[in-house]
Amino acid sequence: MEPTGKEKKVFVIRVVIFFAVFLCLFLVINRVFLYKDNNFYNYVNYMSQPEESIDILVMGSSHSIDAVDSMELGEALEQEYGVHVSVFNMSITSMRIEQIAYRLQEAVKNQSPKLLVIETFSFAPMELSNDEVVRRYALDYMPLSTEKIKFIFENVEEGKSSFFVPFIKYHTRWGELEADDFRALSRKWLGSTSSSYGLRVGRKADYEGEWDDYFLQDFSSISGKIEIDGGQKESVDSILETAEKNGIKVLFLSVPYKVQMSLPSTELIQYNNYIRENYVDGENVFLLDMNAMMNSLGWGYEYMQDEGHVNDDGRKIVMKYLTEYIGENLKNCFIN
Amino acid sequence: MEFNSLIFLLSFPLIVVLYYLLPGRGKTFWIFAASCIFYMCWNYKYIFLLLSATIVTYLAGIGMDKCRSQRQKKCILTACILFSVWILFLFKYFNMFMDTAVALGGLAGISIKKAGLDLLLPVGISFYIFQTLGYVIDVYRGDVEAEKNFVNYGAFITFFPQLVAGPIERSGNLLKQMKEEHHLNPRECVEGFSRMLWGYFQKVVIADRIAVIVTAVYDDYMSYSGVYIVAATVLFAFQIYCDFDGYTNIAIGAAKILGFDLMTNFNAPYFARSVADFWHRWHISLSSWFRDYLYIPLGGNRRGQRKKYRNLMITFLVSGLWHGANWTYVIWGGLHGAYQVMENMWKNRFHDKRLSEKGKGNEKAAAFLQWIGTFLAVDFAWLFFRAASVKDAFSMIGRIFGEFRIGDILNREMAVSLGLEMGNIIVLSIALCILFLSDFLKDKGRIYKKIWQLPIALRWIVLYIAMFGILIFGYYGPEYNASQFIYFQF
Repeated sequence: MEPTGKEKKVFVIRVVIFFAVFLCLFLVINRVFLYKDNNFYNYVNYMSQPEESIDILVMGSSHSIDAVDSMELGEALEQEYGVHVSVFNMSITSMRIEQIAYRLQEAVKNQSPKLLVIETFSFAPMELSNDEVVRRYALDYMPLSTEKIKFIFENVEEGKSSFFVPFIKYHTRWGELEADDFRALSRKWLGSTSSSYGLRVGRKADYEGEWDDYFLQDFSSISGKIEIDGGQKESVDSILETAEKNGIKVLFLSVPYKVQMSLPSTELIQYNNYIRENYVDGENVFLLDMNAMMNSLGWGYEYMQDEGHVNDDGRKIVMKYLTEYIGENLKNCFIN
Repeated sequence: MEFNSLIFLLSFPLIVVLYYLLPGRGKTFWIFAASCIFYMCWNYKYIFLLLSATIVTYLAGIGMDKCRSQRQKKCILTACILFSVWILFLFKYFNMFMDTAVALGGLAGISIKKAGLDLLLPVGISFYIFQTLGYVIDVYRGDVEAEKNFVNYGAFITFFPQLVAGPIERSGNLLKQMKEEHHLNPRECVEGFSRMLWGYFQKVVIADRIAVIVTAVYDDYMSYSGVYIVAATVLFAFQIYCDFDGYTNIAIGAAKILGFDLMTNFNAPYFARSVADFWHRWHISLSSWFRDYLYIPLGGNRRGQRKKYRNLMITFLVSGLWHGANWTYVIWGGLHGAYQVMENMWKNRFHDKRLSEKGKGNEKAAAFLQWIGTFLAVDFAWLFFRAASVKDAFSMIGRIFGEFRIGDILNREMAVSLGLEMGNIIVLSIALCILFLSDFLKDKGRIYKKIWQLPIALRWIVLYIAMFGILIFGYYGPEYNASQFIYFQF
């Protein structure tokens, strides 16, 4: 017997409700299965900060994760320069400048930082890294937004679906789910894991490799320039445009290191030289190239945990010079 | 566009919604248009080939209808058959023919210059060519009237749920339905959706998981002892069953949601007790096509035993060739033909004697032995089907008998190299148990048919469990290398 018109309408409504409930359940399991590491908790932390509460936003790769301690920087600026600022380190492992441009657009929706610190290892070409890792760390925790959609279409060639729906990648974690994966559903619990400072760096191991003569060469005399590629230029233009529109000053920070992903610091200095020549104006855009300063810093393996990242002692030096630079050149940003 | 792609999962609901919103004739037109778009998502160029086959056979049908003499009809039919066979030969068998000619020439001391064709095999070509051929033969025989409405006919040939991997539909079934009005039927929608879920379970939970092991062994069989080759071949039997039946269930389920009934293509094939019985349960649309359009026209079993055996062998050799342009498929088909010839001989010789000696106790034992024997025979043939070449197939057989070390099952290093860790093996084992249970209990009614009978709350819970089970335990995504539907290559 053919169903009546009313029966069909009831059926259609039930189908809509069925799939609506399915979608809600799917969003829940999408969050449960998402791989949660420091990058995830840091992002959640950022999103849970009160609006307009962050003064200095740090963005970069693992170099700035290890070198910039938000709380230390905030305390040092207050103690030495009398400036009370809130610092948030939003760096992500392997983050590239292309991703910083998109993350910044999203970040300024709820915050109005006065200073944006961009760590320049993020200029390392995308092809040197594990592409998927690079894209994933930055994208997987972002909610679906215009910026995320734009980034996926412009930077992901294959497997776009798993970037739109991270569950497609992470559903394999069914064998390794932990209690925290489920607790992460609770805003209250997530709030309890957060702090006002972003990433906190702990004690890092010391360098165990061979101590060669790398750090004895003359870094300050490197004057060559390596031009950043077209995509990176677009990203920098976008960052500077967003910064200008929101009244944010930009400080490019280059953290000392030896080599990572086949990019030695001697080459990064040349990228920094290009940035200095084309973007730094001393009023709104600044550069602190600590790689070029390695000789004057007396830099060596004693400040490294590995060839790419600083240890605790190295971090203290970076913090000292970063505090000094901001205090001497950018203090007025924070005084109304 | 594959059924297990995100694009299909997102676009299918839109197709369904628009289908039911459109009035009468618009529905058929929408099916035709959507089917063409579906096909073009794979490679837009080959839509012209599909449409050419559709137009030629459509015109052939009308031409035969207008013919006054049987002779004219036969000419049109012959032309149509030659056209279809030519297309298949060009796109599918030309290179195989050239390679064989060069090899034979080499053996005979004749140098033949190989002329290869660099043509991509159009997805589903074997299926839609057979469907169009079936139609023109039906019209010739007078079993169906020639279809005058091109949209109806086009929708019949290109119907997207079954276009690329069957079931191979008959004009008497599907074409008739294209002319009928279809209204939204909740029961059919629920049944169709449940059937699709069952198909996805078979494909992404079972078949794609097994594919990892089978590929690891078959691609590097020299690194594995005979026991692993046997295990991989047994698993392949389930991989190809779940892959193909999974696709068929998704196709039948999708068609059901749209109000169409496609023919059943599989019926618990591994519970068959003879190879003949196997072919009444496996790829039923193809085996019935060959029966009706090749075996019976050759004479079937109406001209004595010898001719019957000859017709069986021809039919199964051609069936093997249909599956692919490789001699491994021909051997596979030939084996099935030989099995049935031997079964017939055995039955003729011993059946009457056995009837008089029947005892109840022996019946169950006999049934069990028949079942095991049939499975082993079918599985042995699968080895040829899956092997990359005839040489590889015989090498593997050599390793099965020469390097069969049962202790290697406990070799951890070898087991790990198969590519599945313990968690996935457990999931696979449970999934195979569910499959076995479903086929074993099929006479009590398939679960996807029983879903409708449940109270609505329980129905929703069952469906949610199924959906999330597939989503969580499915073998897909960038972490896995999920395989394409096997029968797409035919």
